[in-house]
Amino acid sequence: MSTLTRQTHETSPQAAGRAAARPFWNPYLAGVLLGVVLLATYLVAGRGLGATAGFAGLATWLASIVSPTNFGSSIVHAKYWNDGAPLLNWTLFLLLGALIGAAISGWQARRFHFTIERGPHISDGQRLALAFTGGFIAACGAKLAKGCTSGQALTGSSILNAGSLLFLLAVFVAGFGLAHWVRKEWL
Amino acid sequence: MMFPLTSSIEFSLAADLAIAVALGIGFGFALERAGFGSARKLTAVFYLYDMAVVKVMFSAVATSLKE
Repeated sequence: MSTLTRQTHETSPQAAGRAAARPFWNPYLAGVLLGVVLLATYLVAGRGLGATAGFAGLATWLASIVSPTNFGSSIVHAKYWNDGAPLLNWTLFLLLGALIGAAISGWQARRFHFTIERGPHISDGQRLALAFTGGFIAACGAKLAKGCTSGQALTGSSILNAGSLLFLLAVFVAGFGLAHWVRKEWL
Repeated sequence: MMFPLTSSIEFSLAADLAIAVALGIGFGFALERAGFGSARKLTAVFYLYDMAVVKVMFSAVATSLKE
């Protein structure tokens, strides 16, 4: 853990003048908290935790600006149009909250700062290009799978949804299979 | 009281979205505490030097498991 923290900060020029960041929580403890939040979401909202639908609402809003007359012919955009208010999307507000919650957590633990995490043998530009490419592919994958690591892997697995367990397996198989080819990004 | 609350209480749109923000704060807080704000930490599992992603995921699923 201490090695990881040091590596995480080595690319940040501001690192020297800052008070030391607190370590992350024990992963099992953080996992229990995450599980409790998921249970609370079931009990209060009758939903699980997700992210994909929020981005879909955002994409539909953008599409409606770029192509106001034609975007509705996509069944995906029609689904997320929400009678003219695609941004009043429940999951988008969940994401807004997640941003706030993560900022509070990071700020309180002195981890809140701007940095580009990367391995020592790659430039910031290359790292950001890979992040953009990866994000593009991940978004396509999440749409194909009807969910991402939050909606499928976390929420779906906790209700023992067979498809979600298969999704979880596929994520790890693909991740381990591809990690070698982009190792310069991190190692 | 019936659960989920939305099955017995008719929330206004504003209340429904406020609930989403509140639950999201918990979601984001838990993820950041786990270290998931760090892309390096998230990818570390695939290079086998930090298995936190698997541990967090497993204990979260075990905590919230429904039959």
